[in-house]
Amino acid sequence: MNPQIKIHDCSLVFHLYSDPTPTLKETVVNLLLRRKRVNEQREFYALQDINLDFQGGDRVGIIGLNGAGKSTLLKMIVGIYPPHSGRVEVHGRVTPMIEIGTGFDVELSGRENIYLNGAILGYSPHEMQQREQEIIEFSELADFINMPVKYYSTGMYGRLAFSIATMTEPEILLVDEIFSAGDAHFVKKGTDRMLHLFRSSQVVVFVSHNLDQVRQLCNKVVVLHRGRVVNHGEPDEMLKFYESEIVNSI
Amino acid sequence: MAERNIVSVFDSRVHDSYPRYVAKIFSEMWTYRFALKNFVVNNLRTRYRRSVLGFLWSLLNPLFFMIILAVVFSTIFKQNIRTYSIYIFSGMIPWLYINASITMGCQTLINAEGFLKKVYIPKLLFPVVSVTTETVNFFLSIVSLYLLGIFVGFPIKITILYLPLVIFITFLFNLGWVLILSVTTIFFRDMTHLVAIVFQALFYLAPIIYPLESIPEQYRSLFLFNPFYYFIILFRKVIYGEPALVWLDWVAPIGLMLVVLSVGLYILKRLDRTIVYRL
Repeated sequence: MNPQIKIHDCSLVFHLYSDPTPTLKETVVNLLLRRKRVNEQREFYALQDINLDFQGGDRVGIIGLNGAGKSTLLKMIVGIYPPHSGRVEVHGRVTPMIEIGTGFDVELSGRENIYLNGAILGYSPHEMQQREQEIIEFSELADFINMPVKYYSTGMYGRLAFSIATMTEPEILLVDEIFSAGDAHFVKKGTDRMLHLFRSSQVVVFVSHNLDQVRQLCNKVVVLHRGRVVNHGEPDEMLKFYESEIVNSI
Repeated sequence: MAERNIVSVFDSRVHDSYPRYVAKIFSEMWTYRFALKNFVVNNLRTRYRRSVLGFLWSLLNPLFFMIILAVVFSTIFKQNIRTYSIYIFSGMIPWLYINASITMGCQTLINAEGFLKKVYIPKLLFPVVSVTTETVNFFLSIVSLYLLGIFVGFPIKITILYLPLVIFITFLFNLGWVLILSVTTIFFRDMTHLVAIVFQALFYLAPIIYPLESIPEQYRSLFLFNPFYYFIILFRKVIYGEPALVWLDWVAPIGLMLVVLSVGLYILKRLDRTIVYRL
């Protein structure tokens, strides 16, 4: 089957608790005193009635204001947030570039973190061994690779995380805003690398606030607003819609 | 890349059957075995690296504790200090292991928030990492202390060959408890304190520092309500060699392990989809 993503009637609710850390003691005391449950909760639809279908060749840009549900949508596709109703179907090897560098252990060396990070993403040491050299070269860390990550500068840290995340051959690529890290030289190199991944992947879902990038890279755009898909279609049309209907109406 | 991503279908209305769910999460464990190994090794490394003496400290601590106990209680109970210290050793080290596994395990899912909200990673991994870390630590300390014991002249018992099996059963038993408690701790954050208190009480409800014979007959049946009692007895018979190990000694630990582990997995299945929203 060709790589594709099908999202059918999905809704996802966050419960906002007035007390996010309830204790057994409080619960028991409230029960004994027959006090009404004090831990009120408010429902908040992060995503509502989402129906989307992405096929091979699609380069989908997801745009929307802060809190529109863009990142949550990506996290739902990966399986981090299971939807409360609906169905998500994913066919193909997924490479998420959502929160890169998750699980870095600062006490360990850069090289050890390559394997640790790979393991967290479900890769075997053997698979990581094949990429190790490429990652080290791309990150330009050279001798620093054997030093604990806690001595790295922010740029070095970002370069390593970026290099690990991008040394893959994805079928489905999910990108959240991450384009590059480090100095001007590395940004150029990182952008090239990302463009290469965009071209070689079969399906790309790209969340971004950078509308120029979306215009250049995507052939489909989805406009999210307050958890709903308000419009989707051709990039130029959608970007115009987004700027006139959503950005200007606030 | 992990095979799991080739086709994945999630439907909010479809729930796996219990056996299917269990098979699924354990096969995921196999996919993530390298992550498991990495986490355990890093946990042990940070634990031992923090001090100059490293691993030695994790041995000296229980060793000194047991020496003190042996001196004090052999005087109180007027027992031979040599046999009494191995008696304490054979109960105390397993107790410390069970205690550490379960009390440390309570927080394991809460501490994993940074992972669970950022990458797709099986939830079962964190309880397994926590219990495995304690088990490896226990294994290293019991082997080194046992060797030390032989060096000072403690007799070697043939029953010690059963030790790996006992550890395996205890590992699954601890995992069951950690599943139950780490999931409930998400919903009741004070669970950890409660567990610590209960464990203090249960410590005295098992013949760890005193001989069972020193307890008046009519109170001894109380011990039977302590689920950990059966494990301490099993460990003691295997290490201490007395009283003789009989097949009946295996029934309660294996039975309890199966019950606790099934309940733990059931709770995880019921709340699997809720956990990430409550962290």
